[in-house]
Amino acid sequence: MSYAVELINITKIFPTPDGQGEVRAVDNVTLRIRDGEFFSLLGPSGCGKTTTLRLIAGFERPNAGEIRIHGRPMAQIPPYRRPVNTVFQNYALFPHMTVFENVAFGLRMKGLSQKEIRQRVEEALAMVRLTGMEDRKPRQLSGGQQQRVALARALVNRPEVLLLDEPLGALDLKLRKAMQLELKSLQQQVGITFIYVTHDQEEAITMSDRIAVMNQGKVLQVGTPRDIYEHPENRFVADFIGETNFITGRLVEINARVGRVSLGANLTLQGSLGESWHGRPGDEVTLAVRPEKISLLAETREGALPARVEHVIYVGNDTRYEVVLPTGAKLFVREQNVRHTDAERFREGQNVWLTWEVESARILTE
Amino acid sequence: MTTTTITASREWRTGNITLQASALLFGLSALLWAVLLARWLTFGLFAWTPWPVEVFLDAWPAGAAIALYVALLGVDALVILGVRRRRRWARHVGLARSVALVLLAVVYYALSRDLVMALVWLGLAGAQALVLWPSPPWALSWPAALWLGIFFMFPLFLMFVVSLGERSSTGTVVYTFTLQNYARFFGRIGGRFLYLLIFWRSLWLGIVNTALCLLFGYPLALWIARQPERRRNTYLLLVMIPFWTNFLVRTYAWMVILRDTGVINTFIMDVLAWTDRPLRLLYTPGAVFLGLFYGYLPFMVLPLYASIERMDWSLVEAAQDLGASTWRVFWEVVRPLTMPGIVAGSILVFIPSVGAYVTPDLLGGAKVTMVGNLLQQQFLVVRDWPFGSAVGFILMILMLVATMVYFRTGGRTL
Amino acid sequence: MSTLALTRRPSWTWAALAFSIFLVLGGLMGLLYAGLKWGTPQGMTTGALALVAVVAGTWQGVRALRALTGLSLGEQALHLNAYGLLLFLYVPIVILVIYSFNAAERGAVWQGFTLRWYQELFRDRAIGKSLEVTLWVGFWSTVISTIFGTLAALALERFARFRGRLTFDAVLYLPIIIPDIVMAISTLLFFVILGMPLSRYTILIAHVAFNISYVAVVVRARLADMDRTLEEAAMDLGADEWRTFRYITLPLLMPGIIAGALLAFTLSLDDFVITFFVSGPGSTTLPVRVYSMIRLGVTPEVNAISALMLLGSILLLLVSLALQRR
Ligand SMILES: Nc1ncnc2c1ncn2[C@@H]1O[C@H](COP(=O)(O)OP(=O)(O)OP(=O)(O)O)[C@@H](O)[C@H]1O
Ligand SMILES: [Mg+2]
Repeated sequence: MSYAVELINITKIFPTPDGQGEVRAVDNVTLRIRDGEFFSLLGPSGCGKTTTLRLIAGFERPNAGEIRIHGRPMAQIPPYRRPVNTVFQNYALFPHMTVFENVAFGLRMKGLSQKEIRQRVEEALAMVRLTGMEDRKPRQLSGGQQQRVALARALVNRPEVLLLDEPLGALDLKLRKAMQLELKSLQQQVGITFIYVTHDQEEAITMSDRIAVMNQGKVLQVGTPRDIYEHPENRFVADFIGETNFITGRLVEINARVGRVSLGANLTLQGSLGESWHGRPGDEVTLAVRPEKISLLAETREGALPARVEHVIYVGNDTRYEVVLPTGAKLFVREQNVRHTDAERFREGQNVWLTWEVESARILTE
Repeated sequence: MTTTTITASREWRTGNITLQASALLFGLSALLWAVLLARWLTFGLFAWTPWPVEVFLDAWPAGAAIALYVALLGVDALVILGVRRRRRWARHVGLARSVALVLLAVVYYALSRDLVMALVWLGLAGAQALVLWPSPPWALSWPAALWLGIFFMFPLFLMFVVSLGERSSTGTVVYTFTLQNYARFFGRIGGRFLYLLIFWRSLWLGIVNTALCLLFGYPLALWIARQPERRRNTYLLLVMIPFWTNFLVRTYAWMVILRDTGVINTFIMDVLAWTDRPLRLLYTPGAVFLGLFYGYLPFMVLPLYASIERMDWSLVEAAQDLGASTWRVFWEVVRPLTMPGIVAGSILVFIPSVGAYVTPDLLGGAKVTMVGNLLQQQFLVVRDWPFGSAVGFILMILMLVATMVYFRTGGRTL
Repeated sequence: MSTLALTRRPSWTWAALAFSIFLVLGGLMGLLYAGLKWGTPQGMTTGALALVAVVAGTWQGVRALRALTGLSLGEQALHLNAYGLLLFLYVPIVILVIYSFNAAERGAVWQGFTLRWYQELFRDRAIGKSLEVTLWVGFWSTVISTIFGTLAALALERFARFRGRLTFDAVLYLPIIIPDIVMAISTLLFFVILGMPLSRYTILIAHVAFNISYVAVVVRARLADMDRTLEEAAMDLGADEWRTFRYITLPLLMPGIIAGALLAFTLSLDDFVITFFVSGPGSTTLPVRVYSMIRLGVTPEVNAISALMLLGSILLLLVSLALQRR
């Protein structure tokens, strides 16, 4: 397996504005991004995504660690000699140049012939469906068009790696969805490694081959979208991606990567243990269950948990129930509205029973 | 660890600018040598100044000069080539050549008294040395810093030193290091605090003029900012024209109106024939006031307009929506938001008003009415430079303090 | 209420307005007359009557205007202030220009149209010489101060942290804050103590010193507004520092540099005080020449040259605006 980009124990420290303290924007991060992969960096605002990208592009220099692109160390390579290109968050189109000149800039810097430049720019503009806009200035374009110019300007150089910093952040929802699909198919078409920064989990999940979830400068989990969603390894990841119920209890026994958890009040549950799980029976643990994995039953069944419906909220495609366990813990449950009467299946105050597959409940380390 | 990273980054950051700039600079000097050489070789045929033929009668300097220019041309070409190929020695050769050129400029000036050419050489050598020397990026500020240091800060320092001296009977400065000039300034002359009075008058005129300009200028700026777009630009232009017009001309315009044979007096005496004695309008304190107000009003209006224009008018609407009266809206919202403009405008009016020389001189008569006149008199008429320097120094300190205080109170934004 | 008045008797309101303007103007003339004949019974009665006329006229005028336009007193005052000040700014200049065409050798009585003063101006070799000096100093001080000032602005904005930065920053502002007369005397002292003969070079040196500051301030403002990611984008696309500067920073900075250069040029052309102190006998600039002509007793030639300088300033301003609009 060849890696397009490797970050090895990278740390980046900024001084705080008052000059006294320091911010660890990126904290001992190790990432290996495969060739041709659509790789997303996902995390809340200020977690260090942009900084990571800027380190790869060469605008910042790490305080420690090493960056390699296709095996070549980048420490002494300035941004303009790195085989990467960036699509900036605000696009950073040159306002004094036309669309054509913007896209041609990188090729001109490489010293290609006029003819070749013209041909490749036209190809690139055709690829992002902007043919005919060559002579416009960036401010005469809509947000989505500007975004595509930025994309063409980066892709026309045929970089080994394309860095995208929340490229769809400024677009409205509909355009965003359309551009997500376009970007994804474009990436498959050109076969370039994409490193994509976003704080939108849905975007990351729909587009990426693999995702790295970051928080406070650290990478918490790397994996495919399914991995991350179905098997979160810690509480932050489970909480940040999608909606999750957390139930705390005491681990009673472990049996072939399945744990039994006692909640008190004579209730016990089963949950699966993650691969990185190192604990012993008797530990305080947290169990995570997604609301849509829980089934509500009107009658009891083997292993089902008793509960009472507190609130019923109709949200269109499904119905949300807030239920309370005898221990007092509150859980959310989502049931799809398949038939038009589904929303009336359970009423507030009704006693119900909850079940789920053992694989759907994850026992997490704190 | 951090320091090594920074130096490393500086290395590659400046690398290419150094390359281009030194190629450019050495190219320039090479061009200069080529031109000078051509001048010698063509016997001054294409020179921009006729070449003294006598020089060529004497073969030795001609030969030496030609040899020198050829050598310089060769060295510079070598440096350019080396620099382009990023050779280490190019830097050393270039630096040595720069040092040689400095020496050459000195010798050349001593022999020919041709200041301009010597300065050109010095400038080139300095710039080349600056570029070739492994200098930090902020070396960009050095030319300005050097110029301001030598021709602005050092003179101010000299002024202070001179202010501690005494005037000799012939009008030259004797460096005695006394404070007596300051004592004289703050003391009584013939029972009156003569100089303090002049100073106080200038200060007072400055304050009143600033206040008046603000009082009349603010409504004008507000009015312009509220005009529809197209008319607004016209009115703005109408304020900018006086701003860009020579101050002397604008002051003189008032002389044409106010003097004894001026427009007003001609009207009263010749047209209306109400009197046969001209009204004394020029050379009065009123005329000085008028001149200052007229002169500096645009300096107040333009910064005010800029900050009013930049203001978000929806805030005014929000305040009105919350029930504030027009006056309250102005005082509580508009005034604080346009504070940068008020501060900038006030400084632009206050400082030149206090230090005004042209207005009191032309409109106030040649009497010593303000500090500006006092300084001119001490320097150009009485030639008491030490005392003049002391007055200048006090004026400078006062202005600095006033500006600083004003900035503090008005919020630091310019 | 005001609309009522408007619909009822518009023509009456117009007449009232005209009458009130007449009252105010007449009253002011009356006051002037009273001032001239102060003490005589004739003068005192005129004065009293004039005072009444001014007050009544103002009151009447405000009412009529409110009826006609619906403007409140405050808004009327705002308009009056604006029109009054604009008039005030232009009346002296316009009079000056008009009188530059007056045939009279002295005095302000109009004696017919002439171009004689302009002709004499063009024949005056001393003026031609000082114009040459002015333009020479203006040109070179603009060139030097634009380059140095721009470099200083770049150093301050782009390499924000270096030792002595704060000091440099302060020194850069000083020439703007210090009264020009102080700068004039200190520079004069410097040249005299160093034994440098006063010439056009000394003028140039002083002009560059204050122009650097203005250029640096203007360029810095522009640079601070500029988006740094544009420069990063250029580097990302393979442009090294020099090309980034050449293709991105410099073009985007150009309006600021041009504005700074034009300001420097104007300041240099207009400067009188500093030039007056540091110019030598053979190197007077136009303002210094005009000043000495004024001091020698006004000739109509000064009117003519003033009018021309005014024209020059307006042209320069228009050029500057046109360049910045681009
Ligand atoms: N140049 C800088 N100087 C000082 N601190 C910085 C600098 N750049 C980033 N930081 C800090 O580093 C941390 C990470 O910033 P970064 O821009 O990488 O966040 P992000 O994940 O991209 O956030 P967002 O989603 O809001 O863009 C933040 O706390 C930020 O304040
Ligand atoms: Mg970011």
